[in-house]
Amino acid sequence: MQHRWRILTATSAAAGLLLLSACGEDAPAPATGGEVTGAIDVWMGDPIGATQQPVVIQLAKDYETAHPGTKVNLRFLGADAHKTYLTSIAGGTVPCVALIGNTWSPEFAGLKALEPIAQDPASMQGTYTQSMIDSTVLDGVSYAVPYDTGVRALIYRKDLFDAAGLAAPKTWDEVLTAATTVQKANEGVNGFGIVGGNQWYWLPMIWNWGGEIATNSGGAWTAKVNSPEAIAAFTFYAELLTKHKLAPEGSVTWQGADAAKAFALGQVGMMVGGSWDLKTIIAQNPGMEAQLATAPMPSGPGGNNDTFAGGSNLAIFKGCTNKATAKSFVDFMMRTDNLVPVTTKIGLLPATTDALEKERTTGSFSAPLLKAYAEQAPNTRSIPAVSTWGKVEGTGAIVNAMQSIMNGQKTAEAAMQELAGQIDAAIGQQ
Amino acid sequence: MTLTAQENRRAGAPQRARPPRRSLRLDRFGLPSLLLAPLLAVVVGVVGYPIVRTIWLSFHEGEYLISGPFNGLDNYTALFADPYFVAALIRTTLFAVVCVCCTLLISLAVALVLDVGSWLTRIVTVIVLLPWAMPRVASGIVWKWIFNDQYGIANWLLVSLGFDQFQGYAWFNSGFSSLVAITIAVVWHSVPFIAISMLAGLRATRGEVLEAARVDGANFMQLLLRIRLPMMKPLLTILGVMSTIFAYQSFDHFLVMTTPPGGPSHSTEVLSLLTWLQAFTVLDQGAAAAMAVVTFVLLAGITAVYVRLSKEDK
Repeated sequence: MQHRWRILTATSAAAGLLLLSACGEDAPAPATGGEVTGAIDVWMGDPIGATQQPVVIQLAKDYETAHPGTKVNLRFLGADAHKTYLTSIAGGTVPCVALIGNTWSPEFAGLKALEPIAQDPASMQGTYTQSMIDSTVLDGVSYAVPYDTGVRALIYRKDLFDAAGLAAPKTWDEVLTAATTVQKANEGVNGFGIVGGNQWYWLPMIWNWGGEIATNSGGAWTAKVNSPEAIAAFTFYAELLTKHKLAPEGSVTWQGADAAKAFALGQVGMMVGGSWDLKTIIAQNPGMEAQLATAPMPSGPGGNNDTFAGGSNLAIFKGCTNKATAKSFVDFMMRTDNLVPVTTKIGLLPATTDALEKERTTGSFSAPLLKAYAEQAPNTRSIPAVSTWGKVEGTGAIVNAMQSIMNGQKTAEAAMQELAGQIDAAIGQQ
Repeated sequence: MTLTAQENRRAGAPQRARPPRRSLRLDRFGLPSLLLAPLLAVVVGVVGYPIVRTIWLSFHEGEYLISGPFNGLDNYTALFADPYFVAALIRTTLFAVVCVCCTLLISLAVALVLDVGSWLTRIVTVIVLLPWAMPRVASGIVWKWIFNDQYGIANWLLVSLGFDQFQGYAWFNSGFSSLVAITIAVVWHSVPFIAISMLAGLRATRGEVLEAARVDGANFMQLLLRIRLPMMKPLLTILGVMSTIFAYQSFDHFLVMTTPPGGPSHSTEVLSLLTWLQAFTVLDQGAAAAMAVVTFVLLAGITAVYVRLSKEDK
């Protein structure tokens, strides 16, 4: 008897492992009144952190003052916002307005959680950065309003480049030459900050080589990462490490922050980095600011220098019961005067063309070090707008593919063939 | 025959207190059950429901946190057809074996040192407990720094000791070296609890038996292997079960220390991590539940074996 109890207690301890439960209920039907009054819940996750929150709180207060009878209930979600939104969608307790990562937009729309913003996304053309409009679209309908854009550019050590008589590289081949030269000329400096652990630093190279990540024909998505262009792009990046040894071995698992840290310590001559990486470098080593320079991304054999448009979109949830106020609040937040203070505080570009122009010419991105980011913004693309893209990112399939090439576990062809299969399984027709 | 009033009461008291026959059942079964009911309800709700729900989910489609239609054994057949899952299953088991052996041996050594009983023991006991008090994610981050290729003190220490091949050695570039680092971190975290439990066990083995053996001339190793450890067998079984479960549950260290979680190129994927990825990033609750059930069955099996082993030796 005693030992049976022991089995029972031990197995119930094992049961602690299993805490998976879920429930799915539809949100209550929205009651759409036309009046702008009453309360709305507004949720914001990253990139609205502690430094940006006061600005947003002030904007919410301004909105309430301008629209008597309204109340904006702000909730800041921090870095784990994606799961919070998914749980709230599954549980039917969604907010009215939410700032969501642009890659989540098709996913949430696919879950039928978002209110359509424009039946014809072409009507948004010219008002917002094109790649950001693309990120809001699922099956020809736009489900969100582009809010901020994060792009990457080249960050390099101007002092080292000047000493070697080098100009900012315009192509990936020039990047290789410049990085090799800088590394040879400077003991202890790595030519290029390789970021093996984060796909957004090198996945866009597929576009630069003239390839595609996946293509859509008649609603069916097919992975194209096994194309010769994509294989060549991944091979080029992996060889920066394996053949040319332009970064420490450990960069196979580096994230952007690792490269930025090495850069700030003076151990890296050049890297691809977002404006946030630039900020990190300067914060960690303020003395280095004068030696830094930035340039738009280099172009590849495909003749373009397109990079990924990261960022956030403002979305209205279908379950919102006060859509009139939600819409009016989104309009309020999108006004250039209200948008720019927030994006400036984040250190990202605004996603509207007007605000972007203002930032580029006279605003915070007119500074010499940041100009390259504003110039890069039009040359960006969005990831495949398919609701199941999150599965590709979630399993780390793309990073695993690059790492297996870098570690020599697989040939580029084999790794990309496997990756294509994984992407097809995730986003292809079920 | 006369009885005093006092004796009368003494003799009569048990008779009066003896319950009527029909309420005997209530006393032996009814009342205890009644008293246990609230606790049982909690246990059923907190342990029973998730298990039943997980098993139920594992036979259903479950994409996007929404349970779909019944799909039979599809989730299971898909799991075992996936080479990465099978690899993770084997990897987890090997990892658990190494972890459990290291944890138990190191804990025993620590417990024996603490058992010496000098005045230092109390201070050392507190220090030994510290890793246990540390959140696992925090310790994972610290260990990741320790094993950093450029600035980590692990490489610095190894190079200082003359192992020059560790200059800039990237621990997290390959599956094997990543697992070595993670094993060290996990063992470091599990040792305190097991060691303190073993110390309690060792304390309980002091006394006459030990004294008698000493008089008979048994040395330290004989005392330990022939007397103290066999006396601690029931405790060791429980500790073995617990550290096995700890090892299979290891998740935080894998999540924090590897990039991407389970990488590089799938080489550190373990069951707990795959289950989490499947549930919360791929959002396939059905497949995740199937993985959880496989882990559960595996652990229940291992536990049964442990218990059987300890019973046979009694």
